[in-house]
Amino acid sequence: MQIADGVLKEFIAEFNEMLERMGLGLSSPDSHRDPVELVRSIYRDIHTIKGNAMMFGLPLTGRLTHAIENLLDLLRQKKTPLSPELVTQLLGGLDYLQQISLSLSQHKHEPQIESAINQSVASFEAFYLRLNASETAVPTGASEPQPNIAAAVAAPASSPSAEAVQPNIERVAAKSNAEEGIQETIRVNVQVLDNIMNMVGELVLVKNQMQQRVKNLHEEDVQISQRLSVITSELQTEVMKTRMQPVGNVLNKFHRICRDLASELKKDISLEILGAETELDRALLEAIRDPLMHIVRNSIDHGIETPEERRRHQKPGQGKVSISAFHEGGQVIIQISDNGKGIDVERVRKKALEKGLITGDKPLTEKNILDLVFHPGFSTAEKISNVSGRGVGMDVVKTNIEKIGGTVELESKAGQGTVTTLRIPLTLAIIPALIIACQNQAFAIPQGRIVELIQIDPSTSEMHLESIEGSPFIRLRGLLIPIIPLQDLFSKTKPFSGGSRPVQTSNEYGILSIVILSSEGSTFGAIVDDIYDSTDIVVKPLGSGLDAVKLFSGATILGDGSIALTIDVTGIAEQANIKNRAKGQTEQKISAETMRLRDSTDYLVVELSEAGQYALPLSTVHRLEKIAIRDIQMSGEFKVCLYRDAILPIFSLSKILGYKEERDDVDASVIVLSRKGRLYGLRVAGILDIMTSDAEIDPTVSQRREICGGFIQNTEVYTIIDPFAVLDNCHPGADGGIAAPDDPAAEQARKVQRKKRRILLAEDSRFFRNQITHFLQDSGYTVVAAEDGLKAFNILKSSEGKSFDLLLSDIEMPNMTGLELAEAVRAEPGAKTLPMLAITSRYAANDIARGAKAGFDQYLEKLNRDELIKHIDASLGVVA
Amino acid sequence: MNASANAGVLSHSGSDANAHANAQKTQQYSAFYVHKHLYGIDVQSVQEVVKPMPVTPVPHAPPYVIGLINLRGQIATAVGLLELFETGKKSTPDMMNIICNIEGNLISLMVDEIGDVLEMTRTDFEETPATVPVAVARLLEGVFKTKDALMSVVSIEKVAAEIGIKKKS
Repeated sequence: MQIADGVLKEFIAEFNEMLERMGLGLSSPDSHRDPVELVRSIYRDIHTIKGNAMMFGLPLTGRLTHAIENLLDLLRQKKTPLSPELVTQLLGGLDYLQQISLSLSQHKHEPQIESAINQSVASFEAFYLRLNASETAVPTGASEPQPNIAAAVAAPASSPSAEAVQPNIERVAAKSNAEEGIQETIRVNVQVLDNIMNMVGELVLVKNQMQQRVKNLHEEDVQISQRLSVITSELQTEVMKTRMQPVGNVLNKFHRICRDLASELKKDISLEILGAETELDRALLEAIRDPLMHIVRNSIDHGIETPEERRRHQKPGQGKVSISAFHEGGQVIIQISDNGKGIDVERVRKKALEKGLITGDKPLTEKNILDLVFHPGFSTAEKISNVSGRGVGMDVVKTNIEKIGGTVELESKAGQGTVTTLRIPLTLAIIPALIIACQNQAFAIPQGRIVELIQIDPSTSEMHLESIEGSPFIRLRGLLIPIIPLQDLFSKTKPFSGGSRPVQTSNEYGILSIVILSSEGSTFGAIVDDIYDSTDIVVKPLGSGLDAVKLFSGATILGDGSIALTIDVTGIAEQANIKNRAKGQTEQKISAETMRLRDSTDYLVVELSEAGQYALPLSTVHRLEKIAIRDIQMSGEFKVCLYRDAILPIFSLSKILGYKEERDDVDASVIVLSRKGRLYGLRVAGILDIMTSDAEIDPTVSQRREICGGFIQNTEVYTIIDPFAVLDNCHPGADGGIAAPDDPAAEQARKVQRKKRRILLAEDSRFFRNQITHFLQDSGYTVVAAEDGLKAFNILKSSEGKSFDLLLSDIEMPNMTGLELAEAVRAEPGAKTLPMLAITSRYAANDIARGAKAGFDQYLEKLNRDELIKHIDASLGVVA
Repeated sequence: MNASANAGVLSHSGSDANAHANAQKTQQYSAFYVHKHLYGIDVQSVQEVVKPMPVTPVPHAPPYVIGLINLRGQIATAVGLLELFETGKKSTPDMMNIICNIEGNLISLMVDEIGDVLEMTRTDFEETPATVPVAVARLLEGVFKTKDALMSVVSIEKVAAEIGIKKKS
């Protein structure tokens, strides 16, 4: 018999409690107001003990209580008054139970008194028969049970006669033990605990207020206040503890479930539970019960194979599900792992395709596919069984766990099993939060939702707030993070619409404080006026009449007595429409890995005076500006405006492309381009969006030099504009205005030198291959292009290989990636010094490191023509 | 909402016959002024009256929710009767608070001025006159005629329903 400690303790505590209650009732039955009710109550207790004993596999207890129960049932039915004989008989039975309880608590098993119990059971049965035969046939047998009991108790001992008095001693001993037990644990109504918890919460608040006030008072007052503060904190901790329960309370029930399910499914499964003593707030424990159950059922039903199947795969016939609970970083981690067949990624993918959750055209990583399991309505069970596959799936698990501020992760290895990890906060009632200010009002943001804090100081910071049509965003480690000015979001008068006015900072230095938040997979930033403090808050419900306000999840009272609303991060994301945008973002994230393989490019989507969607490679865009029409002046034949203390020439993109010029409104949307260190403005009718696309680019859509191709994304056709070609066109000497003309003679000298140099270009995207070849040839270089790394490598190894002066390679390519190519080239004798430049549409610091390791000399941006040529020139020693 | 429906809501009068039987009974009302009019609210539903309190505004809340009040550690929702009655005026932080406890929800009605507790006899009760603006009438039980003024009885149930407090059945 193996019972987890916590459960056994709980069982014994209850057992003793009931024994005491019954003992008390039976010892003084006359004082009991309602004898019938007394019998009933004893019957209930015995019945409970019997049930528990059966569950824990305690045969002696079970048999004895069964016999007692039968007798009591008779009493109950016939409403026989409790005769003294009966009481004695019952008390005798209780003594045995007490003895068992004592043994259980000391040795964790039933005492070796089988024969005694058998005799006792027999005496109960005899009593039962006698009573049953005649209700009144009690008198003669009155004294009979007594010796029986004495004998029975004596039986286990070696010399019965010597220990005939045993039961009384045992009873006394057990009693004192039970009394001690009472001191160790008492059962308290949960409601009482909750009330205490609430009041302690209030006390914490009062204490905080007190602390604020006594600052200016006499020293003694401060001391008293400090003591109050210490005691309150300790009280709070202790009260929190009363709400803590071992997770075993939930986990241990799974033994039974596992056994039942396994036999139903004809599987052989052992369940292992580790860390059952790990404690968790009872409200949370309640909340994780069902999700846990679901995961365990999943493991048993989907995970573990049948013994035959397991043996076929050289696994032991018995499968193993283990649940372990432990503390980590202020959270409780519960891991459910099985050594079953793991999740069939291919089947999940097919299922997702079938259900239209994904489209087949994008390859997904294994992790992405596993995440699909959390998608609503997803269930891979082939037939709907009693066990799982009832349509409620992992999505419910995820929702429920996230509701209490936790997370779920899934890992699976085909053939080896699945690990599900739940991360649960310790408690809900008091949460750590960051207090921020917005328009002189304090708000609390739950720490769990905060990713990081960022300050942007325009005078020093490299990061700056950019905007698309007034919607601000920042670039954070290569990701575009949408930014919400909380002030706008909270403004009552103007509903948030993306905010078309400039972001205001309350700070006189213009320093922006941004809290980066995450909600349901999307990340965004909130501009706040000030960041105050990190503190533990007691969250209270928001109050009546405010159900419709989704921005806040509650309110808390701060130390100074003022109220801070608790920001609901998901709510503000919804309000600011981040969710929809973020959806795109996550989808992009899902395939982020795969997109790299297909060369994705970021585009700025703009509107021109002519219908259609026009896209500019984002890498060519320097800044986006709104310039007031009245600030735009004519300088000769060009429109110009004053921009950062210089003259910015502004060209109409529509006009250059042969359409009519943009209508003059109040403001002009201007794309600022930087070329050779000079700035140019391209005016467009509107800036619509930033998008990432890996769609195939068709370069044949237009013969115009300014249009370098077109692509289709989500059934929309986008025309790609080459902004530099536009500048060339609109302004042959495009270097008027701000730009100083480059020295034509020097450029000519460079061109002559370049003629003798041969460049091998490895690039799988036709569009980029053509573009780069085109502008390298334009500048004078001889270019040979290869469609992937392998082709390039073969060319290098061939006879003409020696003639190349430089290798220019894309990174993500089929057959052989740029990194593999670089390594292969560096491994070739005679190619150790060949200059190699990596070109890519996006890169981060760790990409550069990886590239350098593979052998690349430099990482460059694909469409940044001038930079590219400058670096190639430098690598090849081309000088003016 | 029509006037007869209003009368039906009165706590002790299910029908006209009942109303008549209760005619001599009196009921106490907490009187207050909003927008220079005299109103009353059943004294049973009033927990306390407190002086002006700092109010924490709640962005995106309905216009009649002025904000939240820290009432000795409990959070009460401050409801502006000026806004609820659609008077076109705005409640200010210097208004008095009548704290009502509706099924465990603390509501603070923000009013201009607090009056006495008035004892009213049912014989003086009338349905809300049809000419009272709907914005006000929809929240009234009816009107008492006093010696020198009319006191409109604000139904806390109707106010609760209006601001979205669900009744626990």
